[in-house]
Amino acid sequence: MTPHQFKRVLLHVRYELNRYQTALQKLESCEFPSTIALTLVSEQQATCLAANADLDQIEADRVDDPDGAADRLVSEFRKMVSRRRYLEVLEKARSDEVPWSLVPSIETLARQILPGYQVLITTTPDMNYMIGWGGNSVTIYLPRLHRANGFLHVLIGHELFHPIVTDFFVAEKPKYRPKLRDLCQQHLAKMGVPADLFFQQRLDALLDHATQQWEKAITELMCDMGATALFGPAAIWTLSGFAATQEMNSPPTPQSQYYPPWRMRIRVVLDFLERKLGAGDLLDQLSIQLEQVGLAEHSTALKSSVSEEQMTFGSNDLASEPLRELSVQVYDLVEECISDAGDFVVAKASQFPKRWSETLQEIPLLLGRLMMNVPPSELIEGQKQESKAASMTGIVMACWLERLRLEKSSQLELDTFHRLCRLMLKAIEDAELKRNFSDWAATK
Amino acid sequence: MTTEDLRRIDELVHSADMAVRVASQLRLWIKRNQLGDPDSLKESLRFLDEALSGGRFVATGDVASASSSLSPLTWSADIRFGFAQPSMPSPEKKQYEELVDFLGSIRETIDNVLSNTPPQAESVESAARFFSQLGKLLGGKADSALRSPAGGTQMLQDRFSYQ
Repeated sequence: MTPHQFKRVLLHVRYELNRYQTALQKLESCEFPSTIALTLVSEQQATCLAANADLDQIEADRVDDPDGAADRLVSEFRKMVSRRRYLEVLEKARSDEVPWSLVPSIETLARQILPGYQVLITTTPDMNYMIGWGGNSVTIYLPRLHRANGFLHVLIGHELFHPIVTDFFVAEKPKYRPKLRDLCQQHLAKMGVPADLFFQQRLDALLDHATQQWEKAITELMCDMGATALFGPAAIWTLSGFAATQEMNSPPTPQSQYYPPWRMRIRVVLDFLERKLGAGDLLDQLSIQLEQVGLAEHSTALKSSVSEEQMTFGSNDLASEPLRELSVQVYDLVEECISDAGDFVVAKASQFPKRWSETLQEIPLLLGRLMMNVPPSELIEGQKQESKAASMTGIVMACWLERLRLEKSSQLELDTFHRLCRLMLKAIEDAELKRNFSDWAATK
Repeated sequence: MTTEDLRRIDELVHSADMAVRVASQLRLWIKRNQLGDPDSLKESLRFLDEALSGGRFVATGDVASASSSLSPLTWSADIRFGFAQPSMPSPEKKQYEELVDFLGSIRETIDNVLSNTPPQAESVESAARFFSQLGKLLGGKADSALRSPAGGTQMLQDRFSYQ
């Protein structure tokens, strides 16, 4: 890099940093539902100050190491480009951009299953849910377009498990890595077969690929199980609806970021629901309760929906899919690990006391309100003057059952669905407010 | 449903930055005989430890090294072996052991620089050259990843081909 190019790039980076700092200052005056937003703004401001000091040092070092200074300068520019997404994340975390009625409830849920983390909720133009984490903060990305679709927001349960499952790999990776290495070595020994998936002949690269495939499959399956442990069948109905918009048998390749096939994911969570969460008995009890209070249609919808999902996703999908030899073998190791993964998830989910299995008794009461177009936010028992706040999992299950009933009777039109979404979000908001007030009143 | 792309981009940007800073610090150390940014060198030791651990596991199947990330190793192997072509044979155990020895010697050089034990100028130059190449390799990957949101998946394509 010539001296005049160096000066030009240096000025460019300084200018971009200056603009970035100005944008952060503007964000300081915005309103956010999450308290962590302003902490992140401050952190970014500190990063800018450090970057300016680094630029001074690079300029000073240029005399003795012109090439190194040029490389470091380009790296500073790269970091600046990488940093720009914080602005987008923070701008879209403002109160007018997020489903703010959900935010306090998600924060409460996150505090219980992710103790020590602060949560920032933001929106993204992607039609997908995502999570990022680092230090003591977690950022949850919700699709901007359907921010009022409370049913899909159940997928937040999946996202919240991503930081949790990393602990699982500390113990499991050393057990499975040698098996993956053996598979890769055997695969390399058979190179040259025309149907081989991999041309690559380096053991380290192939092992890296196989490890990513294995780890990604376990991670996604555990997060699906996590959402199911929190929200029960409601999570499976949501996952199934989300999956229906995508290729069910998509193989786990780098192009698909190694995501496991949806058909397998749903099959695994259905099995988890039955075997690890004992859903069969719990749902039978719920059905009986619903029938006893005159909600036979809901009871029928519940039973038929679970069995329909089992029929749709019950087949052993992988054997029939176009996965190549190594991927099939890697997925055999995934299957080997699923039971332990399920136990780990059950243990972690138990930190959330109001998970679906503990709130089923709320559902008949909440459905009574919902059918009168009243937000199912509180539980009024008998002649009592005071009511209790409904739990988020109870509200979600009740809304899903009402949706299933409407679907079965072909009454679920777009306007009915909008109303149901609004009732769900309103109930979650009201219940959280009521719970906070009750907690506050109890201390007085 | 994760920010997988973003995490990979962050890892690349961060590792590329570490590499160019270390290369520059080593060259400055030869000229000035003093260290301005010891943190970057300490960071490079963590990188090398991961690469060494990964290398030992790939070469010998050593279970004690089975939990390490393979990224530092594969990046180092990209530099040492070059990018494999379909016609090239797989590096053998011996070549992985040589890679481990090479990374170990770089680690020793950096350790010496950090502890003020004067290493040979030649070994410092060799270490600087390695980190300079690493910076270029990772910087290129990071740049293409930053250009498009789908870059995160493209990053791996230089190592694999699919039918």
